[in-house]
Amino acid sequence: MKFADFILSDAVRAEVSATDKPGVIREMLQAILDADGMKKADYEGIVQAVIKREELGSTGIGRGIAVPHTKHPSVKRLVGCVAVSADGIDFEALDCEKVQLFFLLISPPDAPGDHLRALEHITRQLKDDTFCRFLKQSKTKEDILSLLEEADNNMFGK
Amino acid sequence: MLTKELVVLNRSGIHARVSTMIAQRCRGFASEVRLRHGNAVADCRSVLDLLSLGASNGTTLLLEAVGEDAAEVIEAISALFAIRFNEDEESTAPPPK
Repeated sequence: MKFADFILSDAVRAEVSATDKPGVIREMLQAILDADGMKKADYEGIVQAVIKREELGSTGIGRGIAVPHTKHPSVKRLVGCVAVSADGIDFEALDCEKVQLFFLLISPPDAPGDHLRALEHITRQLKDDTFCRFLKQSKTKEDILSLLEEADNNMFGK
Repeated sequence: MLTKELVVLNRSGIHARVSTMIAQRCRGFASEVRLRHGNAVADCRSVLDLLSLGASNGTTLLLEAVGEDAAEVIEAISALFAIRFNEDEESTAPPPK
């Protein structure tokens, strides 16, 4: 699986305006909604589902990275977006560090395979320090999309 | 180094919550603990590493531990796999031996 398979390019955000955890979740889901990645009527339900998942344990997995996610019938295939916060946001991460890189995923119910493969691809790329650093320094949507494309072309990671 | 083969029995595989559970279970042990999936290797204290294995239901992983409490940490992590990480789901993988 590649970023191009699930990241909605119109939903990529280089400079999030949110400053807290619920705010960044809402902002990223709004980006997916604006990119026609979900039904408008499902927006609030998906926000609550992602927040509820976070209550089971933060998806802030360390090194300034978070992968908030949920399953929802609003989507027919796995969709995701990327957001960058230059200052970082308190996401109750496992290492207690602020989070700068967010990969939000919405999966259809009963498709755990695609969800797992997306997480595998995201984390394999982020293990590469150069990719991770460049992504955190991204100032524009085009910067992010370019880095994702380079990653998909095996220019980072192992 | 002590090793043990483990099969991923829960339906959803080694996803975020399961990875967090494994990493947290390693706390309190001094040994180095790793999971191998083919050529990929993950430090069991790193959720990022564990997710990068992409280990789905039915996958066989090799658990490795090096240190004074290697046997204990292998036992602890094996127990999590055996109870399917408390995920109450039917599995297509064979039951534990």
